[in-house]
Amino acid sequence: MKHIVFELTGEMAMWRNPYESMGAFSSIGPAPSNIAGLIGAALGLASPRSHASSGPDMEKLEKMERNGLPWPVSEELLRWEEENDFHVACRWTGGFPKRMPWNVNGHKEVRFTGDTLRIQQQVIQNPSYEVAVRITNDKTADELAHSLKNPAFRLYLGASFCPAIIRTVSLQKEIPPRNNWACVREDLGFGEVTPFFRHIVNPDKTFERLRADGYWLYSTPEQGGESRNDPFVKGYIRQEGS
Amino acid sequence: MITVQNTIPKTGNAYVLFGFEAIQARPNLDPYTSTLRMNDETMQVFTSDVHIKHHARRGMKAYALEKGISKPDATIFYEKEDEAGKPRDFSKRLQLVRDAAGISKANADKKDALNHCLDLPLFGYVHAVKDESFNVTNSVNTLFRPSTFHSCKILPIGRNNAFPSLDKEGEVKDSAGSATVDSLEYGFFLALWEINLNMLRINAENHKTLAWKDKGVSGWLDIFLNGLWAAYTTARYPSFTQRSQFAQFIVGWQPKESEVSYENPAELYRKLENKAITSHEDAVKNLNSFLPEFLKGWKCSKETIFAKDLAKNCEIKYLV
Repeated sequence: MKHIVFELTGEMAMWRNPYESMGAFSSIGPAPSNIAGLIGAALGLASPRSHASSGPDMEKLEKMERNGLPWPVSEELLRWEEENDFHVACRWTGGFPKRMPWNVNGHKEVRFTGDTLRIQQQVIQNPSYEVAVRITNDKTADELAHSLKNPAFRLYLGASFCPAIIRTVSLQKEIPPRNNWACVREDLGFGEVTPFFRHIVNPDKTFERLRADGYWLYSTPEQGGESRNDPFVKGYIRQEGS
Repeated sequence: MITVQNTIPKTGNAYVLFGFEAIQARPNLDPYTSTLRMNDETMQVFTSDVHIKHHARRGMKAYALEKGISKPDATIFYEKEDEAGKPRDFSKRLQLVRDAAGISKANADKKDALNHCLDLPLFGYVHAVKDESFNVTNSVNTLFRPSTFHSCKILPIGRNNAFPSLDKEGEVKDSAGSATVDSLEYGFFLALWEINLNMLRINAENHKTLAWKDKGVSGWLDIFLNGLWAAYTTARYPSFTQRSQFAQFIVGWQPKESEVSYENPAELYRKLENKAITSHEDAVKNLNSFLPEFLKGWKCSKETIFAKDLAKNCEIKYLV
């Protein structure tokens, strides 16, 4: 078993919280599903609605759309997460967190009437994280480390206007001892939290991409977190009984 | 015209650093506050990626039409108006592309816009149409916000409106009035672009206007680089706030190794002895001091450069 450890930074991050009605206020850090998405982009696992996807099953896609899942996650990525028993740990390394307004006039809307689509957002400024990924297959770990250094697709911090920079990718037997890895809580607690979203690996049964079970509490200089013996969390779920 | 070398590999990332000046201008405003986008602590002025891509699209259209590469209505998808100056919605825009490309209703395909317009393989696209939905990830984007590398002087400029407003009887209801806006006196901006060549190939390999098998990476980079350059030279936007912006230099390279410095060009600010720069001469002098080290960190060298150009008044020695 190997651990892939890397720095994840950029100039801005927009980790949308689907529970927030406007979706315009960034959470402090990525949820496990965000990190899985980043890994999928690095490996070149395109979502089936992406132009980069080769030969998606249109019948299956139409069924998913009819059932309320128009933009599903890559099946290859979901399989990768489950087959490799994807576990992840993440911690904030950016000092005192700062948000900044990022207001834009977009114009990629479908019903374009001549007016611009004005968007008001609060993004994380100078985000910085250390991420550790644990997977069972050593060969797959090597491939992932290579892909993170040479990503197949562009990488983002939650939104395409927030390019990601990945540095110092290393393979380690144990992860570095830190006392501020993000930890899972069922309640909100104090401090900066991200809803604990994980991919559902059997979406054709649930017609949901994600499920949140509580919160991922990030430790910052303002608000300390909680130390756990094992900072890793399982990065996916298989929903039973649906 | 910028010549792009035809020896670029088809995978990995390529980078472009574009320098432009804004003089007595308002390059990009926050749409909620109508003020310049600015770092209040350092007084560095910046723009959004959306803003500079809007200019790049304009320049690409001018360049492509000049070269006879494409037809006006099938060059750029994301435009606010059609050739007659009328606003258009998504379906009308798509129809204009099909008409310009001579695509009949029977032969229409959901990827017509992607495979005919020049901006979509570069800057991405969302085709959110019932039973046809697909998305295209951009292959080209700024890695950081385009920003001045120095502190800027911002002046409040008072303006009088030309006419008063009248009531129904034709009498003056409100006087002409006046307004004060902020104006950037001088700024030298640096925009660092990252190009994912694998994504570009995926997005462009079925393109009808600029065929991948004939033009490949260099053909697409030619359109992008020359379009960006044109947007700040021969095809500058004519509005009062935009027209005094001028391309200064452009350099494109592909590092041979994946580990680069990832230094944000806006961070050159920290190296300046005098943070405020108010003239072209001062900006070029400082760039000559700090740009070589910056570019070396990004593995930009004579061996890795595939395209470059300089304005006649911009002597960046590292690039001459």
